[in-house]
Amino acid sequence: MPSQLFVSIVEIGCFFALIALGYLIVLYGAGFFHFALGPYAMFSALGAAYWVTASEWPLWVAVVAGVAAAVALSVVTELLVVRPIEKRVRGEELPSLIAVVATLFAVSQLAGTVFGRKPFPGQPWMDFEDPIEWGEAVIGGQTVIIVGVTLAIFILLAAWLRWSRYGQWLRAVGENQEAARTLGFPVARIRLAAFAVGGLIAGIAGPLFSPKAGVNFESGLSYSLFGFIALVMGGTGSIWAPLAGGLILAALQIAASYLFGSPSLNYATLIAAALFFAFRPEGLFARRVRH
Amino acid sequence: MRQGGSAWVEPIVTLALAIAAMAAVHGSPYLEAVALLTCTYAFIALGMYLPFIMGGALSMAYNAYLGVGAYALALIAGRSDWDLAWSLPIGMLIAAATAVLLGFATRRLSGFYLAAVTLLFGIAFTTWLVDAESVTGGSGGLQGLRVPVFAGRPLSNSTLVMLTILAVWIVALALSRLRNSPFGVAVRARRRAAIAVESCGIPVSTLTLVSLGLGAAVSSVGGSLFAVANHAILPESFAVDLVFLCIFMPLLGGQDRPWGAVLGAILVVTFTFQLTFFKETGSLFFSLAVLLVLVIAPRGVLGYVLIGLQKLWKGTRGGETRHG
Repeated sequence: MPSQLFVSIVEIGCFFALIALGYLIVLYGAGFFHFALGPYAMFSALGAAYWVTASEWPLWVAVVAGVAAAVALSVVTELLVVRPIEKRVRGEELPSLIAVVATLFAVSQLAGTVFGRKPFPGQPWMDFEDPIEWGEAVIGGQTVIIVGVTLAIFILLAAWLRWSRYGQWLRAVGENQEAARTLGFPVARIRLAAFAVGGLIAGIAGPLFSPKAGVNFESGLSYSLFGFIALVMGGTGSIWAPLAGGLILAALQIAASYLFGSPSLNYATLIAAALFFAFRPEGLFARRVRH
Repeated sequence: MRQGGSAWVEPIVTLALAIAAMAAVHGSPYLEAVALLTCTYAFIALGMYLPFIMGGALSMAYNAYLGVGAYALALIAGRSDWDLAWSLPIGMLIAAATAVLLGFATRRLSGFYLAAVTLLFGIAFTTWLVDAESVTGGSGGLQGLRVPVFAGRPLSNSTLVMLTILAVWIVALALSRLRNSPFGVAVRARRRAAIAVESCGIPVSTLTLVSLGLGAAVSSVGGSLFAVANHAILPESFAVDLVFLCIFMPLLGGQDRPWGAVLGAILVVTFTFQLTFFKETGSLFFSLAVLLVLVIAPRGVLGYVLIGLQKLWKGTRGGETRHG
């Protein structure tokens, strides 16, 4: 494969990894797959692109606004949709799943209504005068930014989970909410923190990656799907697992479309997901329980 | 409607509504087109009703089953001199077989995992429609389909609309009956207590596969209908977004009965295509309405209408006994 493709694998892999990390945080804190994370990333990316081109805001203001919108959407989803429904159905999974799928659709439609239904190119955060040459490949400024920001987010999140009070409590709540409530953990607030952090990560991931592939109001669904598959591939046993999952999925997609043409990207994803779900649903990095 | 002795109320009332719908759209080509689209959606929603609402399995590849029905008709129209009516059983069989195979491959998955894999299947299917140009005509689709012959004459749009509304009525009524049959009860029990069903000697996995196959067959009828109504098909008509609209139809209309799926289809078409007031924001209003129903009104529109009617019914009966 041409070495430029490896650069693409890293870029796309980082993006999938961030969405998967968002899933993981919400999963830890609320025991719940937050399918609407993809549309939050899309909303943030589309919003930032729209505000820069149509409203002529400075890039960083637009990006901050987009990220804030993603966090707000995620928090609102927990408060107005997920929490009331979980309270009503008590333990049945399907109603929450349907509700979050409905949220996915609603956020996409909201973005289409507010920002319009045409695709936007993303705005790069940084450009080099002279791109780095690496063999035959050329590494541009945005690539460096993507890798740097992704690693920074992963390191910060690992530190947050390990050393902050809420981070430490997160897993206790996700594992068993009833027990955590009995022990006096502020369950509602911890869940809310998980949704906010999930929205924050997705909100950053969107405008970070959109300069590479553009964005439109329907991008959210594939973001959600690919992020979820990256999460399942990596497993939920380690905070770093999403990074592995994202890179593997990206490598698979790029290799498939290079070798067999672009339609096989979707076929390969389907086959890989089906195989992983069937034979290794716990992912590559599962938590081992010692006997 | 659940009281004894009223077994005829449901078919009679709904048939009356179906005939009223036929009369309402008759003669207006625009309303007929709207009715056909509504019926297409109704078929998908009814197809999803059995495995999804009753069985609790969120399998999302319904755009593929719809596509199978449509391409079956288009291919028979373009590449054979068979009667187009053959596309119905052929499409239904292929769709059911696809659903059973996909269901078998995903039999251990539930919830989010099942939704994700079946969505990917739906996406891969649309990719294949564009990719396999020699079979499907690629991104240009299949154009200029011949008009089906019905009772020795070319099928007019008005006749097609009436037949279609009648077919929706039959399928919805059949599903409503199926719901209360032993099979239907087992499918519904599976949603909450799969292990209990299994321990009664009913193989849950077979139950699921049968309901997935039946549902896919019903949805494929909608696809064939879509192809006939448009005389042409394009791959983008079968994109996954369609599935979202279709999941929400029975929820919005009301989960308690298959008629809710039909009502949902009517609401969707009204929201997204009909009301010029909403224009582009129709789908946004629709999705917000769905969220609202999910959060505060889980029985859907039909559920509350029926509760209201039942209260009214009891009120008048109570009045009668007091008089007598």
